[in-house]
Amino acid sequence: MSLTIEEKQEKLAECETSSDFYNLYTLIFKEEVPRTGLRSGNDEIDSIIDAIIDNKKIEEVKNPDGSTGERI
Amino acid sequence: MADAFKDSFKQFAGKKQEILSRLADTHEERIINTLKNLEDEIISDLTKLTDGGVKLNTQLAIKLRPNLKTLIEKNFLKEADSIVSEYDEIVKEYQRFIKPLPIPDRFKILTKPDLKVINDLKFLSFSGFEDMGNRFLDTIANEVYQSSVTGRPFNQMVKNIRGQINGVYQRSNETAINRLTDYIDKNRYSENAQIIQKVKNAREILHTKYASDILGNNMRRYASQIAQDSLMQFDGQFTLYKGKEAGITKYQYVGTNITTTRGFCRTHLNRIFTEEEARSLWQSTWRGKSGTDPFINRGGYRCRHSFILYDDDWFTEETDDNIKEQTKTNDKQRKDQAKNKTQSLVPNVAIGSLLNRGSDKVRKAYEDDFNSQLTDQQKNIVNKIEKPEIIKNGKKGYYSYIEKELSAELNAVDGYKGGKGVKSFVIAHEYGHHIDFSTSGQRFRAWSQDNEGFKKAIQKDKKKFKGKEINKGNNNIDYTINDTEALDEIFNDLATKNEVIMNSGSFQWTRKLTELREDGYGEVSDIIDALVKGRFRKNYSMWGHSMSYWKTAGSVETEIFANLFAIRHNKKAYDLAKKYIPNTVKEFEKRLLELERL
Repeated sequence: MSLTIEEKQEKLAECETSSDFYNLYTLIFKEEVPRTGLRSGNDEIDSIIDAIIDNKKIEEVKNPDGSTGERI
Repeated sequence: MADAFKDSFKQFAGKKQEILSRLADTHEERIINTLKNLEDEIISDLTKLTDGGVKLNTQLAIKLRPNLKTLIEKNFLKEADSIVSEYDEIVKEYQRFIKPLPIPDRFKILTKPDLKVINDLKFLSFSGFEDMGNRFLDTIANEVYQSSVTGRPFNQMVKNIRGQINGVYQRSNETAINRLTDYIDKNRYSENAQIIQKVKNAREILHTKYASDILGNNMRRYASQIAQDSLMQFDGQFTLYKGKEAGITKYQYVGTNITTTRGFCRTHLNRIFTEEEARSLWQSTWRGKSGTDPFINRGGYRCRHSFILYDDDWFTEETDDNIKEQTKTNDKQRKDQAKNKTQSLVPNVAIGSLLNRGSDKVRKAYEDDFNSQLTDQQKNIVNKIEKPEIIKNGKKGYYSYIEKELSAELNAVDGYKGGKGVKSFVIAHEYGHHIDFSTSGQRFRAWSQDNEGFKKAIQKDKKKFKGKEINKGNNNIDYTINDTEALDEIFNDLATKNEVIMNSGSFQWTRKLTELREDGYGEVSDIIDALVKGRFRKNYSMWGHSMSYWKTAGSVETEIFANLFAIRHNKKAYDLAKKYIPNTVKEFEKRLLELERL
């Protein structure tokens, strides 16, 4: 889905719940938000907003092999 | 002149006796309260599991033994462990006592061997409680078994068990009896003559009216006696050990005279002995004697007299001045200690040198941050177990069980830019993973992911929430939580939502950001996130891990273990964990006890 910057801003302003941000990301990029390794839900939504505004997908952060869940 | 100084010394030494008495009183009271809870929990458990006795048969009676054991561990032994940890106060009091005296400074500090002796003596004391717990486990389990064999009425079995735990002071359905026992417990150490008389009367009523309930060998009788005697034994043995170490050859027998003071103690109070003289005198016989070692047995069971170090050469003007000065310092220290009861004797865990880089200042700060996230018990555990190969002060938090590498940020905060932020106990969290993996006995596996008790406890705790059971095959049962109401409540316990203004170029809009209420609540959030496999973090903007991570085998168990390890020292956060996952916390505490005794 191709949106202008104004449309993206409008849609972001309409997001109320956390799920709204995740759904908007899926709508725009046609894929789920990948693993970010971020511990805070706030921070993950920040990265979703940045991705939408910059029109750049979030790069998946892989958990290093042989280690427990990475927390950033 | 020396006599005047002796008076000053006597008053100074009397402080130690006050501390001993206070500890003995509070320890006995705590043990008594614990036994009341134990009695209630055992009866409630037995009633529930046997359906009021209807289902009790020999097979079930055998199966009930582990439950009884858990209840004794959870109530009685847990309290005993906490009581024994307070023996540190005796050591601190000894240090205060010795400080102004003219003996070399090297005997006034605690050395590593001293700490080992202290730990050994504490372990010995705990063993006394443990032996007693095991003895009564046998007694109660036998009672249940015999009742199932002989068909003894359930009510009679309950009455016998209550008697075996608390004797004449057992909980009763009769309010009057409970009122009397509560009154005695509350006022047993009153010094008010009228109250002493009332306590005496209450005891008489209890014994006369309910005489048939008296069981001589009940747990309460022994436990309250052990609570007092093991404290006094610790004091006596530690005093003798330090005296010998400093080359002091004399000991004074001190304390107060009360109406029940034994004739032996009354005669020898304030006398000065060499060790040999005391040992020789203690071979004689007297009423109420319990053994022949003066430093262990004193006058007998429950005797509160004790020994202090003594030397005639100490009574000089200079020592007297030192004592006066020290008395002022001690008063201040005691006040501070009362304010900060968590002051610890266990030395800090040295991990600063393991940091792969950093200035001395950073290494020291890192070590302090880590130690502030541990209880004494955890420090003891960490000190016993091999440390990680590498520790990094990194923004990313992780533990590599292959490389034995730990990365955690110094002074980490959970929050958002512009918010107040709360402390995140990330170093202890990652170290918790290290402990979990390095004590499992298997390469690249964590204890928590393979321990049936821990795994079952998590499933049991999940069942408190609305949801459904899913059989994944191979006896792998999972329970999925689908309880928005409960998650809403937990969210409100842990966090608030703040409206903040967002900017994108010239465009502005408002957004709600989550802010945690207290330190360590990020770790509690991660526990809840584990239970709901990432939905808490995602749907509530809380702290946790991604949904894909929670699909990894063992992630739920290992993260819960690490988070409990991280918040063990923080009462508010740990109390919330107890509220949400009580069974898991019990298993975790059992594991800490096991690790402490490794």
